[in-house]
Amino acid sequence: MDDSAVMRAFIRRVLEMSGLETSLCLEAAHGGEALQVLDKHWVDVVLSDINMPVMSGEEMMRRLHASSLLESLPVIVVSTDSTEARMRQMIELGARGYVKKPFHPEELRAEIERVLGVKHE
Amino acid sequence: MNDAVRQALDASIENVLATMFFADAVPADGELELPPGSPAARVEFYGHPSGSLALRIAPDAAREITAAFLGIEETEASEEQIGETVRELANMICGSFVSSVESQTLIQLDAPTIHAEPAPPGGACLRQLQLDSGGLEVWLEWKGGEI
Repeated sequence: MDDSAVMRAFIRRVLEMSGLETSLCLEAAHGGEALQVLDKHWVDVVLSDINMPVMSGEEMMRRLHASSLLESLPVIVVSTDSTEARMRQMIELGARGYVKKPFHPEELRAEIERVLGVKHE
Repeated sequence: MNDAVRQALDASIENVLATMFFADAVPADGELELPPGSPAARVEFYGHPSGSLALRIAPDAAREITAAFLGIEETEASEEQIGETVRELANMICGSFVSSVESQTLIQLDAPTIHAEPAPPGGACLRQLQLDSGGLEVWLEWKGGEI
């Protein structure tokens, strides 16, 4: 989830190149769209930006938390905002991982593997 | 604006270009002259510190980084993709810079916007760089004085 279509395309390319098995990759431009997608599809992990129009990643996390969906749905924040204060806030809201932009492709893959508890050789 | 802030800005620009766009930039040799209509973007940030970061990039250089970012040929890059990539470049440089100078308080970054300012305002910290395909200038403005 990212309001930038080119960033979503970049992340999709990183996932495809990473060797991770991604049978289905769904996209959303903001938190509201993501909640609609999550209402219809079960996913293994959510990669979420924070600063987005309409609904921020922070607000989406609060709503997921209220619906108790966060207990079973891991969210990894992927954001340019990497102040310790913001990272602490998002982890307290229930994020399981955090990737700071800019990032090397292997950093994203490693964080997904850590959060999902899988290791792709 | 002190040297530590300038160095932090330079490090953020270099890191973002190298990591996400696979591009090297060197300081421009002399005054950089970008053609009129060069893609440009601005990001405002609020907190302590507050300010804005803006950039302009030569059209060919914008196409170069867009192609590298998306893994496509330069001829395939659409104007929409180029504009969005330039906004994302500004967003990442700004976020990286702000996070490097202040980490303990929440700082709000606005969504990057297109801007058409012909030149940086007086007092801004201006960095002028050269990529393979053209120039890039980045300027940073503080609101609320030194940090």
